[in-house]
Amino acid sequence: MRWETPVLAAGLAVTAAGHALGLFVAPPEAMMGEVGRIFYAHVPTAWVCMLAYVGCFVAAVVTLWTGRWAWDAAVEATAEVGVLLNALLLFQGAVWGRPTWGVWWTWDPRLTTSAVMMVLFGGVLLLRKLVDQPERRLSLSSIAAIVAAADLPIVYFSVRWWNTLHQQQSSRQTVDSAMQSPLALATAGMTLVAVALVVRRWRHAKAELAAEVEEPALPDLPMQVELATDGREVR
Amino acid sequence: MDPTQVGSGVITGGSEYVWAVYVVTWLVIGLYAARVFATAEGGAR
Repeated sequence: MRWETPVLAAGLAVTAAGHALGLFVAPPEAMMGEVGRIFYAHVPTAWVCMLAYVGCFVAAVVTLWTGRWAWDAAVEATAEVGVLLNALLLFQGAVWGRPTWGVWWTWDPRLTTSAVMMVLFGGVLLLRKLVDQPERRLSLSSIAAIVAAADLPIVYFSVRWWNTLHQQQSSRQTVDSAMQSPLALATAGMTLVAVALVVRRWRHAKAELAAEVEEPALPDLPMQVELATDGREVR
Repeated sequence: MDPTQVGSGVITGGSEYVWAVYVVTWLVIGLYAARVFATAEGGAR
């Protein structure tokens, strides 16, 4: 058994504990009441999504620097997990926005830059699907990931740079002590889950790349080649 | 709106939104984990 399997199991258990505390033990939020409990799912998802994208950026830089397939596989794994979490994050935000802001979606700077982030990293994955030549794919997708990562600080600071509906980042100083334990547990659990998913996905991508790179390119078959009945080639 | 202070809540109800978020979150994570962990290493691209 690979080490990421028990990490995934531990991550799911810790996340479940954090969510259970957030849903059934933590007190309601001052303004939002019960709806405020979405906090314990949304914030950890945002954290691990950004973590996956930062990992993708680092992997892309190292890939361009070293040209190693293992790092190229890491670009694919982190981008895929990041996009999945990004989609989940936007869904959670939309469902939270409806009862609190009155809308499922608004072109708020934080929401917009988060959506752009998903499109950009989704583009990295699309590029990897479209480019067949492994060396070309390695360099193009790494460059695309570095370009996409330029949106990460914009997403993070959007709530400070602009006047937004979305609140600023939470911290231990701003979060009530009764809400800190479920949040910390859910965040730690989701981090373990994301690490396990990325590592497992990385192993798949690395194995696929190894098979692809080692496989000798098949020569184009000339249309006029035929085989005689005794096996000799006839032109 | 800062969701970080304790109180009785100005907005009432809305538990269906909460459950929607948690159910979908666990479904998405669970299905993706099942797919990734069930695939043999080096599975089809």
